[in-house]
Amino acid sequence: MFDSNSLTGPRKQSNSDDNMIPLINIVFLLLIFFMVAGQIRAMPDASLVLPKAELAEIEQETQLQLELLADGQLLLDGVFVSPDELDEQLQQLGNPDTINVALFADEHATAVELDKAMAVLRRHQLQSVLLHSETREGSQP
Amino acid sequence: MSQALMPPRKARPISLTALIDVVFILLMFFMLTSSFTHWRAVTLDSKSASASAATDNKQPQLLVLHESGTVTLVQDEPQDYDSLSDAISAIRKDEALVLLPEPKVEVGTIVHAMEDLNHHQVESVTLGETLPEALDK
Repeated sequence: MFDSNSLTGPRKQSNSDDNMIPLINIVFLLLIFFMVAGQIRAMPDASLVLPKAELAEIEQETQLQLELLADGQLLLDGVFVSPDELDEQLQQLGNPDTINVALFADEHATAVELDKAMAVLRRHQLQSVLLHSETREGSQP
Repeated sequence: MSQALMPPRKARPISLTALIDVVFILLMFFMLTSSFTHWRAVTLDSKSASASAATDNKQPQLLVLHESGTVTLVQDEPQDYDSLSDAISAIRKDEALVLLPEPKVEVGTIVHAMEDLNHHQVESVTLGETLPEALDK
C-alpha cells in the first residue's frame, strides 16, 4: 500500500500553545475594539432612565454630576444628598461661576422634584446646568 | 567572566498561556467599564442667559405645559392648544420663551418639549419655575 506519510515525512508534534493562536487573535481584536470604541466615564445610577431626545452635542466640560432619581432622591457625584446638603457642598466650591453641572434626571421624575434641585443650583449662579438625555437607538451619534 | 564558563543559554519561547491570561483580564476590564451610550444635553440655566434676560426689557413668551398634554401659550394673552405641535406655529422664534411645567409633568415631557422647540429653531428657551399647585388647574 502507498503511504502518503512516507513521502511527507513524520508530522511534527504540534505544541499545545499553537492551538491558542486563533483564540488570542480574537481576544486581542475584541480588546482593541473595546479600547477604541468605548468610553470610560462615570455612569449615572443604574436605576436612572434618561429621557431619549436629540438635543445638542455636549461641548462644555462638566465638573459636577447631579442625578435626580424617579423618586426625587438626589445624588451628587454618586453620593446621596438632600437639597440642604447639596446647598452646603455648592457653598464650599471656590468659584461657582466657573462650574458646569451635568444634570441626569430620570424621565419619570416630576417637574416639582426637578424644580427643587434647580432652585438650589440657581441660588449659586453656576456657569451652566446641562440637562442630559440619551440619543435614540439608530440615530446618528 | 562567569558567563564565559557557563554553557550558552537556550532561548525558551514565551508561553502564550500567560499572555492570553493578561489580555483576557484587560478585555474584561474594558468590556465592563466602557460605555457606548451617547449623551446629549440642553442648557437649563446659565449665567449668560440670566444676564441677557435681566438686561432685556421685553416680556418673554410663556409656555405652560399641562399634565394632560395640552399647552397654554402666553404672549399678549393666554391661548390654549391641544398639543405642543399645534402651538409651535404661533411661537415667535426670535423672542425668549420660558417653559412653565405643571408640578406633576414628567421630566421626559419637558425634555421632549425642549427638543421640539430646538428643532423649530426657537432661539432662547429656558426652564422656569414649576407652577404652584394652586395655579395649575
